[in-house]
Amino acid sequence: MRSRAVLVAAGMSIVTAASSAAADDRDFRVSKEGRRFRIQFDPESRIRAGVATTIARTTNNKLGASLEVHAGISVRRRRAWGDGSTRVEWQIDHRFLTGWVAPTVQQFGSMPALDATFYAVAAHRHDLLPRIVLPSSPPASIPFPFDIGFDSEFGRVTVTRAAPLGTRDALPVAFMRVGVARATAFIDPLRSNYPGRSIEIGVGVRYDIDLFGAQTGSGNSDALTSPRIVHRIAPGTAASLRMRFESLDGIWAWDTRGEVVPHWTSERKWALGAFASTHLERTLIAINDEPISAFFDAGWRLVPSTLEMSTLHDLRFSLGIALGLDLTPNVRVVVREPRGR
Amino acid sequence: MTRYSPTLPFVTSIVATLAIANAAGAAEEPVVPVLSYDRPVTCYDLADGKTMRVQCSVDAKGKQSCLSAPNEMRGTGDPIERVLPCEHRTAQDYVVLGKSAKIIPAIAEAPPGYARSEHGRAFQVKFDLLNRFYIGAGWTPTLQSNRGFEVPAGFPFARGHAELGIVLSFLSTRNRSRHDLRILEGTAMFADFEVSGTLLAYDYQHEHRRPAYWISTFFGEPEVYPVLPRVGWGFRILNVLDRQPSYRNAFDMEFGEVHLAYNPWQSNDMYSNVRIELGADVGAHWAERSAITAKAGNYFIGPTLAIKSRVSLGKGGLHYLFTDLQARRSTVVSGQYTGATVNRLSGSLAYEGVLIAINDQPLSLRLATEGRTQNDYVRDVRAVELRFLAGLRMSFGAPPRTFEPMPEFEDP
Repeated sequence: MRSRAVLVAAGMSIVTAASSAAADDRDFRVSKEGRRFRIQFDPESRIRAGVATTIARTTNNKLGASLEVHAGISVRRRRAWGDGSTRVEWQIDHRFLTGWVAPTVQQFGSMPALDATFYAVAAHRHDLLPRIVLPSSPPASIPFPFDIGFDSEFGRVTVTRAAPLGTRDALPVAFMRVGVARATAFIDPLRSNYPGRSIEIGVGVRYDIDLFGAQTGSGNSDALTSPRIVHRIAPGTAASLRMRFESLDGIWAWDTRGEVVPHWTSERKWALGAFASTHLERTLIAINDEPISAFFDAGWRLVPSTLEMSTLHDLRFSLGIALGLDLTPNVRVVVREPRGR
Repeated sequence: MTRYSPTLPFVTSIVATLAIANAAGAAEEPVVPVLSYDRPVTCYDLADGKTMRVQCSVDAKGKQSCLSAPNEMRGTGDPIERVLPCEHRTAQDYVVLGKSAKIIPAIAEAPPGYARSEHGRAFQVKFDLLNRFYIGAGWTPTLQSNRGFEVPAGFPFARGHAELGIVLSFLSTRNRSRHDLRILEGTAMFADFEVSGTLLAYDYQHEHRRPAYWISTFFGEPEVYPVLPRVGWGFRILNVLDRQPSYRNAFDMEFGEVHLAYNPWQSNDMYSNVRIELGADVGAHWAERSAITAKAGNYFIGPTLAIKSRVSLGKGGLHYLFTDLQARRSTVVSGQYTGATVNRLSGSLAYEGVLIAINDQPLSLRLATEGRTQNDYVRDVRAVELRFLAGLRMSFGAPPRTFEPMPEFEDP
């Protein structure tokens, strides 16, 4: 009997929650035929699958065209506390299993070129009246004209399209990078009131493992069966700049990030790596409110001179179409009670 | 009120309705009135043991008249079949009715798709040939171009064929859709024996009124457009093609085919249609039909295209026209001819009309012409075969062709 009461109570709470989660009407319009259709999207709340034509630098320093398959799951949640000048809003972007694979580009063995991240999360705190409080007596409050946040990713696997070449013999060596973890704390001087708009200047840590095949001229360059491993640790030395923009209706989205990473390697020396990427997406149409978008994606990666290999520049440009399953939440910003002690 | 001619022939167990179309035309002649199947019937049990089926009506002047039909077959006295259930009254009630109303001798009612002779026998006059099991046989003169190929014995005039098959068609009024099935359809030709047939084929079509998709556009002001494609789909399983015209010692088997289909035109109940199918198939080709082994097969895959139509002429389901044009382009991906691609083209035009019905099972005349051509895998030359079929088909289980009302919209 008691369990039944608990079930009824649980059911009621679900019904209550569902009814309070009515969709934001600004996201929709009603057509002449009476069809209610979505006109605003959250581009960071979407399951994507797409294909792209790519032009990329190849191992022999030429440009090669290929097909890429893109996929990813992104979920954005926004929560706000307080009203007016005391309002604080957190925008948290999760990305799962996001990246691309070029099935026809196989740098070594049957392993295709790919760049995929297991999980990434970015949190952005927007405060209408940001201040730093010094714990003096009495406490001092100093204006701080920046939003703040952090950006991190875990389990990023990259197989570059171009293989590193031996310094002396210019022979390619199999190569794979495993980005174990990366975390960046940033400030945002843009302080936009709109979601998805930021200029993030950050500094952070990262740990990558580079896997190289056998030494050039001494073994099978087509395999990573017994890889030579180089660890790379950036102990708070990774400087980054990220710029993001989204139109108010979420039709346009742009995300560009660059990173310069002085780091300590297991070769017992400092090295300099770098990375840059940009992604521009435009939602073209939607079928039953599920968006279809065109995107431009480009990336550049600098792998420093390592072992007997020379510096590697991996460069690619993609233009493609992505089908999406829209996950835009019914309530864009969930307002919570201000925290108190 | 429907009337029926008393001149129709009747044999106790065989209703031979030669030229049923003529019979249907004759049904328009005003001779003996017939009870309506859409109105209630009252049965009066008379003192002599017989029963009269009665339907009454009152005219504009308030005068009542009643149609009265015997409930027994003339001659045998057996109760008539395919009638509405009725409310029974006594002989005394019939006497009272006769004093207050004009009694008009009539023929008992018959369900839709049936007529009733004055002897009381209900016989089928409309046939749904999309639901039946059929067997048939006929003459098959066959012409074949002989570009380097040997023309087999029996060509062109000494050929015949036998055929059988099960076809089913289900109309779902709630979903405004139709499902068509063909099961174990096959044809054998002789002399120069060859077989062709299909184990199972399925096709789906619909006449939906609710848009399947709404496409929003975001160029300028957002707009949304309903999309209601008349798109269905279908598949085939195990289709045998024996003795292709250019390679008559070969055996060809399509393991499976799946397609999307678009109906540019279809009747309200989708009974008649024009259908365009685009799909892909996989199968195997054996160069020697006498040596069909897994190892000797040339396994192929390729796109398929078909343009078909079926038209039922008139509302009685007595005359049908079928057309079928198919193109396949198969590429061998495993076997002796790996990499070879062959084009296959076939087409047919057929007429089928019901001649007579024996115990309500229709016997139809089928006239058809079929043509097919394809490359030879080895010599890359092409032969064309053209054949004409004239035969009879006996169908079993064909229900009356009915026209069910469709709802305004399908169920969501």
